[in-house]
Amino acid sequence: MTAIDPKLLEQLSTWMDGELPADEARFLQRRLRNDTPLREQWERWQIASACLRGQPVQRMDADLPARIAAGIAGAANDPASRRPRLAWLAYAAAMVLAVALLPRMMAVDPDRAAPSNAPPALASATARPPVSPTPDVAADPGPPMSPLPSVRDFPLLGSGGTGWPRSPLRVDPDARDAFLVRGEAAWLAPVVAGREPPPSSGEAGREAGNE
Amino acid sequence: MGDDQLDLELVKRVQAGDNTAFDLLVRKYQHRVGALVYRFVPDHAESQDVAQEAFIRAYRAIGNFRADAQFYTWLYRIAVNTAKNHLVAMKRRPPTADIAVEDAEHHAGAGRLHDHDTPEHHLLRQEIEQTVSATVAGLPDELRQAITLREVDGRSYEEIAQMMQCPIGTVRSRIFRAREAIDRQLRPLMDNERVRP
Repeated sequence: MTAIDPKLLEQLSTWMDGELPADEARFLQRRLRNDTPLREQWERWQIASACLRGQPVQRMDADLPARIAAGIAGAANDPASRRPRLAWLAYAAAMVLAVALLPRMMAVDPDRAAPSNAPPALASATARPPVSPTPDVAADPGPPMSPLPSVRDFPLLGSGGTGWPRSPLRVDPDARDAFLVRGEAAWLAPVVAGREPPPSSGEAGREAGNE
Repeated sequence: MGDDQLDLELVKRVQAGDNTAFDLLVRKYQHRVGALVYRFVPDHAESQDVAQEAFIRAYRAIGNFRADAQFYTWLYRIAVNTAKNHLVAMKRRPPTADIAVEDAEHHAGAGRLHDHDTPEHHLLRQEIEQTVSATVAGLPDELRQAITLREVDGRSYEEIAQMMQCPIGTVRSRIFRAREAIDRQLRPLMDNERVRP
């Protein structure tokens, strides 16, 4: 067995009591990582310390620390212990995919949104455009939008295609006018049924000011 | 920085991924954990396995350890639960009443020969305790006083320096020399145990 440097041992003794200066402690800790005899010395001093304090000790097998280290390493390499991490990765990937595709999936075709058997007034009310900022599809002569784009939606410019499709966020003036007219009709429908239309914000403001 | 602070520092290093720090905690506490587990599982080989399992569980849970608790108290609870679970798994009845940490540490019968304890192990434990006591008793006065004030009374180096009217560096040196003297007597016992099957 090789003898340990007495200066190192004195540092270990002082560190054991929590009295070693921080810079010396850092050096010692680095040394302890690769010095098994030094760690065994630490273990014997701990037994002596426990005996002096009257704490009961049980002699453990010499290879117990190695067995524990092997058990920890085995657990870290166990595929079962990595399963939760993989599950979280799969969950995160699914969430990212859902967020990316949600706007497309929420785009509702207005032709399908209004039920055919609804009363006329209700039907006109339900014919309001969806919350999605897509323009009125009826005003757009293009084909109905599929929930998911396909390769055919993006023809190459040089191969006789019509170029990239229009952005669904761009507002067509004609579509906007058609939307306003339909919206007006929807608000007037309750009047036909004998109910007062809600006051416009300007009128409500004036009434509030008068009171 | 005291003993508890040193434990906390080691725990923080383990939490940061330093497994050597956990090895130091194992080497520091394995004999006390072993004595505790042995009170539940009074068989040498079986208690070794249970202690091993307790440390592995502690390692897995160390991310949840909070700095406001003492590490040994936390480890103690894990060891007790592991021992009880072992008894249940073996279809043996665990004790109904828990043992407090202080009681477990200073239990009058802790060092007594247990029904299942082999005379060989009992003798070795007694031999270790007697060797340490006899060595300390035979130390020069200044070394004995320094190591006793530190280990038994839990005094800091500064307090010991004031009491012994000497510089802190001298206290540091005296405690180290006392430990070396104890270790010279203890090492043959431990080495004999290492080669024993």
